Parts: sequence; structure tokens; C-alpha cells
Amino acid sequence: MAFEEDPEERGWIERARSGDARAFEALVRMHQKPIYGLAMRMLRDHDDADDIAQRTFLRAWDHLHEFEGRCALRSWLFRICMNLCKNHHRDRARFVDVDVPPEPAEEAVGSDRIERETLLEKLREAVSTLPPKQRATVEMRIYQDLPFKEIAAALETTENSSKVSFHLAVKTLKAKLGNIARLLSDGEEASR
Amino acid sequence: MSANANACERIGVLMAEWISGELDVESSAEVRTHLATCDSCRMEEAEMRGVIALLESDATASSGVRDPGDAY
Repeated sequence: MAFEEDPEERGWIERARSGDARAFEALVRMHQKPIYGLAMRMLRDHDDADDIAQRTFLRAWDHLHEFEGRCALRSWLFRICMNLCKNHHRDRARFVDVDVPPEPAEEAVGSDRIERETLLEKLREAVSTLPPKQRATVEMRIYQDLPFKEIAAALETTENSSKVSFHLAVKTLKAKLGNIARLLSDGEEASR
Repeated sequence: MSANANACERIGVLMAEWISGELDVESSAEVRTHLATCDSCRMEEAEMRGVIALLESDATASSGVRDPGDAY
């Protein structure tokens, strides 16, 4: 078997395939958070992410009979979600340059935290400008905690290609961020 | 491309899993041996650790942004 199959999930899939809407709802509950999370990371807009997540599950319901179980359901859902995000970008003819309004500062927030937030925002901007495949790989690897095997399945590529994409992405981010990454990393080490 | 450049390229591909401790014993030994003799890959490892730590820190900070609830 190429991936670790969850027997409970397999049961829900079989029941959903035969038209059991409650079984499909169980699958939605299992996966809605990571799917929404991926859409949010890719689009950086809550309403758009909600919309794409809903459409991901609608499409999955319509095409569940085509899911052959050769990869994890999560990878298959990620693939649908990624394709919808790509279509969304194309249709809107815009990428993620929409500024996310900063969270209102809390009274107790210190300058270190504000500085750190500024640096993290630079990181998010750098991630958003990566080439699409590298960006998707970083989003799934770091923000969704997927193994490279599942990332490869979601992006319809090889595991090695996913690792190469991730490596290139990290190198690109390092070049964009300069010494910031090292400074923050050193700070984290010191605070442990 | 020289044999050493090929080795560095291969180590670069393994680096993410090396850093996250996911490599098998054999590949880990390969990376460890290479890093012991290659200054540029050691420097790259340090830089990758910095970037990945930063990304993971952002992932942790972002993880509670919003729960999608039962909308679907």
C-alpha cells in the first residue's frame, strides 16, 4: 500500500459513494479544517477561502465515484482545493497581493512582539511570491504538515520533485529574507 | 557537473527531512557524513534551519486564525 489508510475513513467513503449524505458529512468534518486552512493560506481572504472550501467538498461529493483510493483522501481533496484556488486566481486575474489588515494591537503587546509580527508578515509576503508549485509545496508541507508523499499526490507529481520544490522554495525564501531568518531563528534558540 | 556537486544536490533534496528528523537511518548517515566534509552544505543546512523554523513559527501563530465551523 502506498499510504497509510484509515479503515474508519474507508468505511465513510464507501457509504458516501453509495449516496449516504451523513457519511459524507462525517468526511467533511474530518477534513474541513485543513482544507479551509489551505484555501486561506493560498487566497488570504476568509470569504474566498470559505467559498473555495465549500466548492471543494461539493466537487468531491459529485466526483467521489472517481476517487480510486490510490492516495489518501486528504491528498485528493487538497488537489481539488489547489485546482480551485488556481482557477480562482485566474478568474480574478489577481494574486494574493491583498493586504491582510493587521490585528488590532493589544494593550500589553510589547515592541518585540510587534517587530516579530512585522518580520512574519515579510515572510508571508515572500511565500506569496514564490512560483505556484513551490508555494503550494511550502503551504502543504509547513502549514498543513503533510508528508512529501501526500504533497506529491496532491500536486500530481513525484515525491522527489516535491522535495526539490521545497528545497528551491526555502532557498528562494532565504534569498528574499536575507538575514532575517537567521536573526529570528537565533532569537528562538535563545528564548528556549 | 562534478561528482561533489551531484552529492551536494542530493543532500539538498534530503535536507528538509533531515532537519525534521524524518530520514531513515541510511539516508541520515549519508547526510551526516556529507555535512562533516562539506562547508557549503553545512552553511546551507544552518540557513535552511533558520527559514524552516521561521515558517513553522508562522504556522503555529496562524493555526488558530479561524475555525471554519460547520458551514459546509
